[in-house]
Amino acid sequence: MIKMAWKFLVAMIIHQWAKWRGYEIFTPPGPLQYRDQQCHLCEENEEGQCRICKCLTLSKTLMALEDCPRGFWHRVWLKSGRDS
Amino acid sequence: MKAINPNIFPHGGYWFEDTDGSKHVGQSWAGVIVRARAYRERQGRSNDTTGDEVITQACKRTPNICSEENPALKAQTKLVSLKGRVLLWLTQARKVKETIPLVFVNDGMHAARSDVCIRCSKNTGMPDGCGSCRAALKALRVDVVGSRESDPRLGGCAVLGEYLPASTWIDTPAIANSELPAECWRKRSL
Repeated sequence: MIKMAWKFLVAMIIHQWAKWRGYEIFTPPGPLQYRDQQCHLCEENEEGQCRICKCLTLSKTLMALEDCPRGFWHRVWLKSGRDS
Repeated sequence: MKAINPNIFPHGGYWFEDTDGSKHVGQSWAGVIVRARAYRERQGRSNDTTGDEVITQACKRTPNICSEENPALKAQTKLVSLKGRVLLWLTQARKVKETIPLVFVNDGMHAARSDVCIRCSKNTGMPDGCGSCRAALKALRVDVVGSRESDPRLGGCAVLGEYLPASTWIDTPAIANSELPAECWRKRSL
């Protein structure tokens, strides 16, 4: 429970900081498709929920600053208004 | 139907012996099912019952990792899936917004809709989840409806899978769904 609360706190701080600094909050379409494919093929994906981090893969892949707990995909640091 | 507790490591590891004698080993039960399914697919065999067969065999071998599916477990699964449905709905609303600008209702209409939803039995509170789920929910809501605020008692619609703090603001046509309560504003134009 403490671990989950800590992860939530860290996630919120990262997202707020990124938003403040002008980074994209949502994953761009290309990396999003790649992330979806990786999660779809992953053994740890149990009906849309990651067994390792217990997050819904949908939300995990959607947020640009999230990363895969198995290292299959990484954070996307992209400034708003710029091309990838 | 039995359910496996994924948090217990089974004695002897995660494995399944197929009807033809082949043994499939994985890092988790889901992994074993994926491998068994892939194996059967390559052989052109039916895959419909592979998951059930793996679970049944595992429960027979190590009964202590299994339990009968109970209403509490089903309710929890439903809550998890509701959050998924809500996130999917918000993602779709965001995609729609990119092509067609959303039309929002005025404050009075929103208050009337919220009043109906707050008293509705299908209004389900969103369970506390992981950081990314909460961040995604918050970010998507802001992206879809902007700074429009809603009553904190609004959660997700268990029937439609809509996020009520957002859907009560969006002008959408009425729909026909027998599962919705008679007083639901989504059934008639309000």
